[in-house]
Formats: sequence, structure tokens, C-alpha cells
Amino acid sequence: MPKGKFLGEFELIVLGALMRLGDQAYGVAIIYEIENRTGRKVSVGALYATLHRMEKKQYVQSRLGETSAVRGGRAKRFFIVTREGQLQVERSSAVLHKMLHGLPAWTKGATA
Amino acid sequence: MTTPQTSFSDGLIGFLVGQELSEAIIGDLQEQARATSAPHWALTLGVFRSLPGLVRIGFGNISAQRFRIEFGWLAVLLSVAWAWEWLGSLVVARPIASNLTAVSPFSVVFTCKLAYLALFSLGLIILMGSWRLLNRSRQVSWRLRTQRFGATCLAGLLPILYLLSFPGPYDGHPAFRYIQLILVGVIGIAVLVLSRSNTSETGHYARS
Repeated sequence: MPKGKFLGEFELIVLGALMRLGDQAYGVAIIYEIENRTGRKVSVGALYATLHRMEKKQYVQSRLGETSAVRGGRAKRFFIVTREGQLQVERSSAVLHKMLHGLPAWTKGATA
Repeated sequence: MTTPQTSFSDGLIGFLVGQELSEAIIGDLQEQARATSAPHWALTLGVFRSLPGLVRIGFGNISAQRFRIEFGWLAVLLSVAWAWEWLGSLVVARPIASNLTAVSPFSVVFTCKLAYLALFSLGLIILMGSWRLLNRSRQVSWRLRTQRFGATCLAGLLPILYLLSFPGPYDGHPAFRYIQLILVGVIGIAVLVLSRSNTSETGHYARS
């Protein structure tokens, strides 16, 4: 597999959040999902830069949703993971598993 | 929550990432801000925190080589503008104007202004002409042209603002220089409008 095909850490986190949220994955929901699960603060700009990049790689697709008053009348943009994106998540997690499985620190962290 | 603040955010984010994506981004920023006790501050902070990511999106379609070329061109334009302003105002215009007064039917101040205006306009035409040549390729997006126009105007404005602080003996009323600022705008906008007809408005580079 070419080097450029591997997912970065944040890309993997974002794809994980999209998979968890299903068809309700839009900017704010994705940010809350990531912050609640990882404790990592995410800016809207950083999230969209990653989503934009992954959309170009065809790992995610987006569609415009409904507008609402709480958003100043702006439409939401919903994202879903494509089949190619799912394959990348599987490959990246398999690579991580191969590299870390069996390490004492990993086993300890995984069971803690 | 439509305020001057959100209008500014709209303009800034739209300029950086294009209209299509800015709608969702501003909506998300507003939704996040509304969940806090101080929405206006939260919105400002959200826009500020998001800027690095938004700039990455804005330049995301440009290859590293293209990025270097862009900045190289901007550096050249900036240097040309500064050099012309210095040469035109301090070295050429004032001596020519002071010689012309001997044969000119106009007053000293008017002749000086005329000579200075002529040289400055010539400089602007050269600058904007080179800017238009730079934008001839069909691969250049509408957004990039606008960014280049902003940079070119800035290149022209900075030396003018500098000279406004230090008016010379033949410059007369400082309002004269505001005419130059208007000239920069009028010529720039005219070039921009003229080159719009053959431009893609998608806001992105064509993929080559």
C-alpha cells in the first residue's frame, strides 16, 4: 500500500465518530462525539480541514441538510463514511493491532 | 444572530473556503456559540480558533510547487509597487514637476500633482497589467484572483499610507493621495470584472 494511503490519527478518530453517529454526523455533533470520547478539544476549522481532505480522497461523502434558527438559518452538512473509508479504517486498525499486539504496555493499557 | 460580527465572519470564511463550505462552517460555529453563556465572544473565539484549519482548506488545492510560485509572484509585485512608489514620488515626479513649472501654464502645485499623478497612474497600469498577465491561465480560480487582487492593492496601499505620513513640499493637500487610493480601486476592479467572464467561479483550481 502506498504511504499516502494510511490514515492519520485524527483522520481515524473522525472516521470513528462518523461511524458512531451514522446519518446524524454533522460538524457540531462530530465535535461533541470526539470531545466526549477522547477528551480532545477540536476546532471547527480543524475538523472541516480533515473532512475536506478525506472527501477528496473519497473516504467520506457529504450532503446538505436542513436549516435551523439556532444555526442562524444555515444548513447542516452531513457526512457519511464511504466503503473505501471503511476499508481504510479496517486497514489502519489492523496495522495498529499488528504493531502493538503483544507489547506489555499495550496489553496493560487495553485491559485497564 | 446577524450582526456586523457575523457578516465579517461570513465574508472571511467565505473568502477562505468558498461559499459552499462556509455555510455549514458558520452554522456550526453559531450553533456552538449559542450553547455558551456569551455567544458573541464564543463566536469570535471559534472563528479565531478555526482560522488555521480554514486556511488549510483554502490552500488545500494548491500543490507545494504552486504555493511557492504564488508567493514568489506576490513578493515580486510587492517589490515592484514599493520601488515604483519610491522612484515615482521621490526621484522622478518631484524633480520633473519642479522643472516643468518653468514652461507650464499651470500653478506649481497643480503641475506637481499632474506629473505625480501621471507617473503614479503609469505605475498602476504596469502593476495591474502584470497582475492580469499572471491571471491569464484558465486554471486560476476566481477566489485566487481575488486574493491576488487584495495582495496587489495592499502592495500599492502600503507605500501610499507611508507617504501620507510624510507629505513632501510639492504634494499639497494630503487629500490628493486619496485620489490615488481610489485609482488603485477603480483600475483593480475594472481588471477584475474584465477577467471574470472567462473564469471558473467554483473557487477551486482545475485539477491538472
